[in-house]
Amino acid sequence: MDTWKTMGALSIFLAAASVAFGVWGRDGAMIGLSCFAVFFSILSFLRCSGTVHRYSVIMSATVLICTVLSISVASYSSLVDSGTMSMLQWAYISGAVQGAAVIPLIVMFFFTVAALFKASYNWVMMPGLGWLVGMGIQVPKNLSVFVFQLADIQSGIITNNGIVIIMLVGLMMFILFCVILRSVFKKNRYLITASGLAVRP
Amino acid sequence: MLIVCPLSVMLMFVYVTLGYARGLAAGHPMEYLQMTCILWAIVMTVLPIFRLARLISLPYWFLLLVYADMYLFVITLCEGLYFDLLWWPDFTHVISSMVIAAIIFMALCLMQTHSPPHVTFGSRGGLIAVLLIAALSFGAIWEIMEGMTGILTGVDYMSYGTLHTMGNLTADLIGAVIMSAIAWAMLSTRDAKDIASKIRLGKKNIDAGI
Repeated sequence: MDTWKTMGALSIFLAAASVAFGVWGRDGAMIGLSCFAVFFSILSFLRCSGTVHRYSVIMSATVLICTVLSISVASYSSLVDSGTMSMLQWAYISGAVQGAAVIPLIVMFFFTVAALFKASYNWVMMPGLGWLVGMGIQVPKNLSVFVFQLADIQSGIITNNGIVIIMLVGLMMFILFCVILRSVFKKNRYLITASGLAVRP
Repeated sequence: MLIVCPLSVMLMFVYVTLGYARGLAAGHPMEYLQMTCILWAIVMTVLPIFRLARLISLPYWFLLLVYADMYLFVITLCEGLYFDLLWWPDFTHVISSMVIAAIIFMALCLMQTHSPPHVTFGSRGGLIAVLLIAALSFGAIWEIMEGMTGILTGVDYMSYGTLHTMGNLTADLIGAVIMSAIAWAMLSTRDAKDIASKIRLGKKNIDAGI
C-alpha cells in the first residue's frame, strides 16, 4: 500500500477510535461527529486522490482529540459537577470543542463531494457555503445527542439553552473559519476539484 | 393575491385582538400572535408587489408552497394547534423545512447557471448533497433564533424545552430529505439551467419571459 493509501487507512482507524471513545464516554455529540469522520474518511479512501488523504488524517485526528477532551477534561462531570463552572459556562466550552471538531469535517465534505460528483469549488463557493455545511452537520449531531443521551435530557443535565449556546458558538466559529478560508482561497486561487486541491491557472 | 391574502391575515389579526383566537387560551401571548399576523401580512403584500413592479418572478409551484406554509403557520398559532395536536408542530416544521429547501434549491440552480465554467456543483448528486446539508443548516439556525429569543427576553415565546427542539430538528431533517428527493426527481428531467430560467429577476428579464 502506498503512503497516501496508508494515510487514508490511518484516517479511518482514527475516526473509528473516536467513535469508540465517544461510545465509551457516552457523548452523543461526539459519537455523531465521529460517525461523520468515519463516513468521510472511507469515502476519501475510496474516491479521493493522494493529497486529500493528508487532510483526511488531520480531520480524523482533530475529531479524535476533541472526543477525548469532551469525555475527559471538558466533560460535564469534570467541569460542572466539580463546581468549576456553571452549566451555561460549560456549554460555551463544549460548543468550542464541538465546533473545532466540525471545522475539518466541513473541509472534507467539499473534498469528498467534489471527488464523487466531479464538482469544483472556488473562493466564493467554499467559504460561502462552508458555514452552512457546518450548521447542517449540527443537526445530525444534535439528533445523536437525542438518541444516546435521552436520559441526560430528561434529567435536565442537557438543557435547551445549553444546546442553543453550543450551536451558536459553533456558528460563530464556522463563520470566522470561512472568512479566513475566503482570504486564503482568493489569494492563492485555490479550487477544490475532483482531484483535490488545485490552483486555478 | 395582493389584496385577498394580506386582508385575510389581517382579519386573523382582528380575531386575535378581539380575544377570540383559541391560541390565546392555549397559552400564546397576544403580542406574539399579533406580530405574527402583521409580519406575514407584510410578506404576503411584498411578494406580489415585487412581481407587479417586475422586480422578481418566481415559479408558481414555489409560490403555492410558500403561501400554503404561511397560512398554515398563522392559522396554527392563532388556533393553538401546536398545543391541541401533538403531531402538528412536527408536521408544520416538515412543511417549513421543505419551503426553505425549495428556496435553497432555486438558489443553487441560479449559482450553477451563473458561475464561471471552472466552478460547478458537478453532477446531479453534487447539487443535491449541498442542498440537503444547507437545508439542514437553516433548521439549526432557526432553533438558535428560537432559543436566543427566550434567553434574551426571558420569555419562552417559541421555545418549549429540549425535547421540543429535538422534535423540530427531526422534522426539519425529514422536510429537507423530502425536498431533496423532489429536487432529485426534478433534475432527472431537466437541468439546473432550466429550473433557474423560471426565476426571473428584473424588468427586462420578466418582460422577455427569460
